[in-house]
Amino acid sequence: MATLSLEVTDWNRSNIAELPDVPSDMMVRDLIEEVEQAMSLPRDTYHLIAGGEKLNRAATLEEAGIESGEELTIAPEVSAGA
Amino acid sequence: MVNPAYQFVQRVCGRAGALIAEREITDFRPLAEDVAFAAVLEGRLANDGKWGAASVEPFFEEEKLAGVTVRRASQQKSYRTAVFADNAWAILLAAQGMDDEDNVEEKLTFTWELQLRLRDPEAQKKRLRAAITYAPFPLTADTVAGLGIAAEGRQTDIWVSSKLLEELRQSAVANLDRERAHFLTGRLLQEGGRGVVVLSGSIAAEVESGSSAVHFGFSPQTFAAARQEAQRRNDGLTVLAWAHNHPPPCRRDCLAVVPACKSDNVFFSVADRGVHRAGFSAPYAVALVAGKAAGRRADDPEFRAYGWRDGVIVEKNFYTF
Repeated sequence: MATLSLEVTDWNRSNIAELPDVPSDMMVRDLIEEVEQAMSLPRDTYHLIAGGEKLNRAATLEEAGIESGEELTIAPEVSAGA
Repeated sequence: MVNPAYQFVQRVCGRAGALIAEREITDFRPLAEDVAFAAVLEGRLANDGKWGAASVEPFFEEEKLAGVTVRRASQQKSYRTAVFADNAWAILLAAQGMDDEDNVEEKLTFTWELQLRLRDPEAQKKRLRAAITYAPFPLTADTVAGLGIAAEGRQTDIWVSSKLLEELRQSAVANLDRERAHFLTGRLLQEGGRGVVVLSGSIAAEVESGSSAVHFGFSPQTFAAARQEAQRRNDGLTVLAWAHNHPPPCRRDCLAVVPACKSDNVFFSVADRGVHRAGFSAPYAVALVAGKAAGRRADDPEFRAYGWRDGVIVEKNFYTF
């Protein structure tokens, strides 16, 4: 198992999280939870984006093709409504 | 990490006191940002982003949990539990599988409370190391007068250019059967110890979004695309707000009703508050809602503005220029 060094920014770049030792077999959903916790974000609302694509929460980072040094974006999936 | 020792759990109970649902509160970010922004505006903190993480501690009154004190750098501010009222609605809606249209207020009477629980220290040890860098607030050196706005004694934290409001009005009128949303760009000013938002540009929320007459869905890519577009424009404006319309309940048929009926569709729903909390937690972030107001035709929409005040989303006044 490799260890990845990742940078995760929120959508408007007001917070940047540097995570120096992320296991490559970590599930995407678990990384999202770590970043939500570190950035004090509401739970179960966010996704990670890499290269413009939303990552599958059920995949590992390795399966999602994430490499060390990559910059990811965390952004919410939300609905406004009347 | 906002508090390594405690979890703050919000419990929502039904009329008879039975638990409906509970959820740990994790989104203290609006409060953490409120503490820093207030201190920056009052000159107690430099606007350099070097504030470090916030810590959240409970405070009690008569042996009952009454709120939280948020500390950041050398600053602190206390918030009563009422700041979490919006979350209670969201927890209830999620638990009941309802949306705003179900008018849960009439169907359910509920209470909620905040509980303090000890965290599992072993679970904390397994967390990843994470270092957070905070960006300074996007304050500019501009002034309201310097931007050519004649305030003429009008007091507000929100100015919207007439051109932008007309653009949003036209969008609302053209979409009486579908919600549309825009990211709004502008300048954030510091005047008289207050943050003032001057909005003048818009970016349509179109990438990977979805909508109907009663909802507008933002995907993560919608947000990322808006940021990229704002960067590409390089016009000195920052995304500071968002806007969307609420079509009237009878859609386009509304225009056939003469005189205009008393229905009012300009409000900030629980879902809208969820969007604001998740995507626009900055203390200066603004939301505009357009819709049919009582006694007005749907093609003459009214706009209302909402934003943060002391960690709570409230309606705010705004003026055009």
